[in-house]
Amino acid sequence: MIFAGVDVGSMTAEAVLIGDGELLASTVLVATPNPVTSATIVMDTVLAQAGLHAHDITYCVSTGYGRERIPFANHDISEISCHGKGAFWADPGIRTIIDVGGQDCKVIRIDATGDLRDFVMNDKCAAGTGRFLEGVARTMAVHVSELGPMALGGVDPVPITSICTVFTQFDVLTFLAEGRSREDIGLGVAEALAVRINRLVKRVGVEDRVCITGGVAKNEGVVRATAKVLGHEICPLRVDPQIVGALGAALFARERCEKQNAEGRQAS
Amino acid sequence: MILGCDIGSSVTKAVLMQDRSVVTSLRVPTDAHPDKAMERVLATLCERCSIDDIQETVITGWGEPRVSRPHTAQSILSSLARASQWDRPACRAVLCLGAQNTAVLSVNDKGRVMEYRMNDKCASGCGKFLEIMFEALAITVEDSAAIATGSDKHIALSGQCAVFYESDVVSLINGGESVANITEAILEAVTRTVATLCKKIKLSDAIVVGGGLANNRRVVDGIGDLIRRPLHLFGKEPDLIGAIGAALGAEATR
Repeated sequence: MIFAGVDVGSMTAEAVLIGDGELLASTVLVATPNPVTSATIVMDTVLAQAGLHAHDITYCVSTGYGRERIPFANHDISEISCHGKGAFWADPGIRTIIDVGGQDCKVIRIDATGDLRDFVMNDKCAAGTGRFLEGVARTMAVHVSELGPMALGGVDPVPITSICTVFTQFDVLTFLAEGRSREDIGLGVAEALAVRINRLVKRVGVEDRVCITGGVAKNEGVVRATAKVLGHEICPLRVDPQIVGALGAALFARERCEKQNAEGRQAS
Repeated sequence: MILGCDIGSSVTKAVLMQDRSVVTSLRVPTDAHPDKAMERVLATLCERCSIDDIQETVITGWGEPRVSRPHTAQSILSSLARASQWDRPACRAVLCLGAQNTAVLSVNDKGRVMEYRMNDKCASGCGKFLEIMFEALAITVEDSAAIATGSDKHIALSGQCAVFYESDVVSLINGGESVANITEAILEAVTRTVATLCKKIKLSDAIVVGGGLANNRRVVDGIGDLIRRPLHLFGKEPDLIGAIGAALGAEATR
């Protein structure tokens, strides 16, 4: 049987297919302004990649923006639960998940059984989200994926004192004008984001093991800086950190299907 | 003569003053480089008068600590307080609408700052916020007040973050909403944010408003309505408030 999960974010959309045990295929695409369109395209893409068709899917769960409007989903579940589920499957030792998405940041605490214990979210301000990095990358005229490697080359990080993404972009412009190296700016930016993430983490506390999910997890500079500020190791996951929400949705799809089948058997 | 400079994050404003009167004024883009902006200010002044007559240079604003040439430094709050009472001796409060900084302060009869609130942590409520929004709309901040008068529908924008607002504005454009309606919604949002800041301190009736954004009637009138106080524009050119205040500070230091 095939189970599917789809997660539409502000910047990207992800789809995951799983079988009875293993991860079969996953896709990450840039999101369109319409969540339904994004979900449909990313699901079609992952199916094509796996050589499957929509009718092969036994059960599908959607999460993320507009999750209740995805026409092909059998059910929708919050991204908080999905991230917890996905991360726990990838590493059952995980207790704290820091999900840094395009337009929000969540810190999710789960227990030894993978159940949700507590969470906190910032979706009011771009500081501490992927948009912060996008803004800086735009100012530096580089792709956001270049910021991570750039930060790793930094020696003397520039001090980013602004909280606001808009003001940080201006700070970066000033540092460039002063002739500071791109590496030191990249490192300063990574540390600034880590400080903002840490502020959110402190509100729910942290327990090992800790992982980072979402697109920002691919920025090694931010991951290292966050580990340093937090004083906790950040554990790499065995799956792409960006697909964790969609993976969790697919795992929920399998669970719900199994539960329905069990109920069906009991009824008959 | 005294040279007063206000090095803002966006524009550097300079005035030459003699006997408390403005002799000449000019603006140059700061371009993230205060030292170079000061060089451009002096080069322009050279064409207009003899800069050897400048007895003292007083600098205020964001770029002040980054200027290497000798000068007297003055805080932006002191500059605003001095300038406002120079313009209106009865003034007891100032609102300054800058690009990356919105400040509101009350002053006593001797021009001393009594209380102040500053928004320099978040772009919402600052000129930069409007710049970003209107870039997405392909209009200018200068034209926005006139464009907003064509609005025929109220759109409520929620939240606060400029970065998130920008996405909302793009969605509105894609959804076919009129530029006038979106412009009005944006101006209303910034007006609300500034009014909230103003309400945090005790304000008297005589409020002087300066800064680059003070030229925007929709914003200034809107703030006045929300805080129920008349706002008086600073001088003939409200954006010179900091530079004039800086120049006036020279007398006080002597």
